[in-house]
Amino acid sequence: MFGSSVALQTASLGVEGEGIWLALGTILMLLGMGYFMQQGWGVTDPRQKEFYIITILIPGIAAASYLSMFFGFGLTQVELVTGRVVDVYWARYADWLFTTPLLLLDIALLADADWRDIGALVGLDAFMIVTGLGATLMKIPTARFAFWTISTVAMLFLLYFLVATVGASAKETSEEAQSTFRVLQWIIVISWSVYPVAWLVGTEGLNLVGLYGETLLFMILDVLAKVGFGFVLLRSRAVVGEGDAPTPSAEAEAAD
Amino acid sequence: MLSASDLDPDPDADQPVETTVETLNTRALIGLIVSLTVGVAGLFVLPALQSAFGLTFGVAFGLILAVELLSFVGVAVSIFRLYQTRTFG
Repeated sequence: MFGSSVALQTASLGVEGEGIWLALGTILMLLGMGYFMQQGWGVTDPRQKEFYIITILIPGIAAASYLSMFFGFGLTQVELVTGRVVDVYWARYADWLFTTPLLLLDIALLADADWRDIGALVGLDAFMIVTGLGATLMKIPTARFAFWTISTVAMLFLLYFLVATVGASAKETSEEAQSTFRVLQWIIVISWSVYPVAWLVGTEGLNLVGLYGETLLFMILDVLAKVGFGFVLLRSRAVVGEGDAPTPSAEAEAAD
Repeated sequence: MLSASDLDPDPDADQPVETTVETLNTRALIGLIVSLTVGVAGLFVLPALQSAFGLTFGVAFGLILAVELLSFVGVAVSIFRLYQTRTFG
């Protein structure tokens, strides 16, 4: 029974043909991961390695999540009290619970934030995602919008904390790190702010946009927030040193 | 051709030299791989969990979310312990 359900999913490319965006999301995340791996190959500095490992894992985990959704593993249905059946890609939320704290860890490390601030960021982030998930799984529409509001308020707190508190820590770092922090901060603020809007207009909210358009929107946001973020971070001299790209240590040592 | 400095014995040769190196922490590496594997597997196993243990979607999903959060903690802790400083001499 489950096998035939999976076969149906892959054969029809999802409920509304949105499988094409899930496949593209998988490919783009894998490309991002491959690019970051290639950039970080041969890096020996432990601090640089921390940035590379975290930044490589983010699109890698997201690629697995998109693959799970593409094959129908990450899909379920929620029947509302109104009788409307909502198709929910739950793997998206599981992915976010794993990858968004890693993104915040990356930017907090760049800002040289202390562990208490990192803990507060991750805690707020987990609360935001779990309440967002509550919004998605509730059967009563009013409860769904109440949870959406709580999740969105948590996100606003998180973004304020990132800009104000972690931003204050970043001011103590080098010019290059500050400049990179500012760009990454805006990538997070802008891209993350669109997520609750996408939820609201999508099938899980007001149903103004179908699953096809909603999946496309989430895919673009995910690629921007994960691969775009990593691209900016790993091009920064604050992370990779003086060159535009990391120099393989073996070549550097040979040159010495 | 040898220079004079090559022939002179090193005056500090008998002095112990303290060297600090970063070494890979194997346990942290294993922790990273296990955390990552469990986290990624969690994205695929929900239907299998439901059918194998007869769990409702809510319970199975709650387990998956807990696993994902723990995987993040495992990955983060492993990354920060991946290299340890060792001093010789």
